[in-house]
Amino acid sequence: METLIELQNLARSYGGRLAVRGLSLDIPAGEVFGLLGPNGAGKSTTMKMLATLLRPSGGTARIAGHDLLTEPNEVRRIIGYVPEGADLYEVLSGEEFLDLVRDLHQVPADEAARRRAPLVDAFSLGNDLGRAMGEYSKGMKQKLLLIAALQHDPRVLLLDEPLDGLDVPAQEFLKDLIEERAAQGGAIVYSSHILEVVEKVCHRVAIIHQGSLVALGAPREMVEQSGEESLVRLFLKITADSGAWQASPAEAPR
Amino acid sequence: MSVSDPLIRLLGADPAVFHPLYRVQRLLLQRGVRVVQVRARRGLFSGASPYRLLCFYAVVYGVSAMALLFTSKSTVLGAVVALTLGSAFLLLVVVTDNFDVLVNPREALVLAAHPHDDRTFLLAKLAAIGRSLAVLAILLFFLPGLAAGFMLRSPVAALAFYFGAAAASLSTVTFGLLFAAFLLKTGGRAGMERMLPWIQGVFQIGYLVVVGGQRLLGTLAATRPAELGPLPWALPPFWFAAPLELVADGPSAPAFARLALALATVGLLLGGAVRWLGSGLTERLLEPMPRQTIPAARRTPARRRSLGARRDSEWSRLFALLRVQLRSDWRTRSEFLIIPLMGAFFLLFWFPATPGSGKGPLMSFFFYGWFLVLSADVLTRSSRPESLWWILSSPIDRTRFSLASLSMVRAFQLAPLFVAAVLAQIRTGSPWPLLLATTAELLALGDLLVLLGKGIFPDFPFSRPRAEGGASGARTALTLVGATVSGLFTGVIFVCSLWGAAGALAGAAVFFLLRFPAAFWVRRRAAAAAESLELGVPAAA
Repeated sequence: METLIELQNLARSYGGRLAVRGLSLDIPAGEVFGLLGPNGAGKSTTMKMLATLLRPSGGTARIAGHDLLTEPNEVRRIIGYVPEGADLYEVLSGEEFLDLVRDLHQVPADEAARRRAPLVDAFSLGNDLGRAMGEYSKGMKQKLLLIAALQHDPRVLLLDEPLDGLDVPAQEFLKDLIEERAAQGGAIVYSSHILEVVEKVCHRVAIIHQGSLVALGAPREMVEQSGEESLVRLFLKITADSGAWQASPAEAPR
Repeated sequence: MSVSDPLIRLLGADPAVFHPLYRVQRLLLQRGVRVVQVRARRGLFSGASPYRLLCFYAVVYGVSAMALLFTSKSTVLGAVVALTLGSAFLLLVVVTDNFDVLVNPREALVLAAHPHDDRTFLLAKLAAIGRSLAVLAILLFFLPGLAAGFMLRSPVAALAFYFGAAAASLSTVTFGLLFAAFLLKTGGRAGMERMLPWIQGVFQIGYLVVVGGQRLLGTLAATRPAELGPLPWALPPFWFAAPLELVADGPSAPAFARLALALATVGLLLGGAVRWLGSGLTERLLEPMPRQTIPAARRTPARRRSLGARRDSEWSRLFALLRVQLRSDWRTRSEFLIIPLMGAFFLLFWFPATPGSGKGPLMSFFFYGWFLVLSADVLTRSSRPESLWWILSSPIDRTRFSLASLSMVRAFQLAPLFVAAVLAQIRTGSPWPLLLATTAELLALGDLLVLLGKGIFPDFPFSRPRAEGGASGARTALTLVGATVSGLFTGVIFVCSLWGAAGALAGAAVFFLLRFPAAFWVRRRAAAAAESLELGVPAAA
């Protein structure tokens, strides 16, 4: 299986503080990969580096063979990124924003419209696209970001808390869509605090704590190997016990 | 394929990225202009975008400058005034609006993950900003140029004025943008975010002082060039009027020197801008701001943080909220400062009291009152009204909290205006009994007007979104009500002044007695507004 995302010793510091410490991962096509960790663990920083928003302080990262640092625009054409808590242009309408993203990706208007229509229907945004985004609720903004991330048909999806603010039908639609895109050969990196959803949706998960990878594997296998009763229990144990895992990362469940 | 594509490529940008970004930046500029606050939903300006209103103001400026050129003794000095006011107008737009469009920290999460390059992104922004400013410059200077040509009976004079105006506009705009670049380079985006509110606030006040100085500029326009003396001719506005001066007065070495200075200014600023575009801008515009950790020395001590809670006083809680607003919202900060500063300016310099009259001109009292009525409104609006939830969900007396804004206005806005008004009275050289009586009259009037202002604008403090707050026709109407109230009391002062010190004392007594029914009315209005407030739903004024 083709490897779509390769991280080698990826690191990022803010001032003197290391937010991500030497993260190494391979994510193949067709995989939904969960990124877990407590607040401040480095998940969003990792996502921002993958989305080319932040430059890594060290290490390398490639998406579909393109280096994040040297070929950022090639990477941007391949990825669809849904950030956590984006502050949209309040005076633009949803449609104007989607048109901007469409044009930046150089997707022909008719093709974008064809791709956009089922997403707009599924998210029930049809009547609101003409309104200024400043009037949108949190869930509507999230839906718009999802459509913007999907309308250029990216091979790699980077989803940072994608269910945040979504209503139940939209959540279900998104879960189905993630599975569908993985089945079509895409790779999805899914960062979330909702472990129950991650356990169901993701093929593999990585637990990051204090910037370091402390556990990696299929959720069910990790739970079975650890002897814990659930992923939540395992997560709590690992993040409480992080010193031990960090000291000997090879012992982390894989 | 657009006709501009070759030029865009020549500048090292990608047309496919440039066009969509330019389109959006234009929309942001047109819809997000903050210099203009009033945007009526009904009536004459209904449907007008803030940018169109800004254009309307530019035309008003142009008409005023044209009138000035027609009436000035020297067309060249009239042109100097027109160029000064027009450039100040442009710089205000650059500093208050275009800075934010040029470096918008919120764009990172929205745009950075989509294909772009920094150079194209920056050029698209500059092109959108340049276009909007070019339109404003034309509206500002077209009519004064016609006036210059008409006054000197020479189309060449009009062209010379336009040449100078173009050079002045280019210099002003480039200076503003380079200043933004300087901030960006020295402090990074985080530094710029910290400094910009202060710069914008100070500049807005400075701008109003320039506009308020029209009397000075009007004096300049009524002066013959020979009466000026050599010093003013060294000032930049005179440099940019040099082309017109050469046409009007014929060639002279000083005029050529001033023209050279104008051209050198344009050259230097444009050179700096090109250099910046070429290599100086190293920071990626769309990179998110670095996380900031507050230095230990700047952290608020726990003792001070809990002050409001320990004293359990709505006043101290509102004061804490005001401090947050002043620190984080440059518009609140500048509006909060403008009322006492502009009021004091009007009282001391614009309508100075006439020596020996025993009373300032009535217009100064009118402005004193009007500013005080409006001062209540400043504390009702906020960029982030939704952050009030922690106030609304805490066990406070909402009415007392709302009425505490009266004390804020008295302390920070009435007090400086009152001091300025008293100083203006002292300058008249009135006998001390009259002075004391007038002082009492001013104090009683001021307090009554602060109360009435709160009654007219009873909204809960910082509860209305800023954009919406400026937008309603109702607010404009209430502003007019404030002007009417102030005008009415100015009439009372005028009548009382006919009886000297005794009349002033009688006036003070009238204002003092009116305070009681006013306080009752204000309390009812504020209580109703405070109790009916829901987050996200502006209280009915």
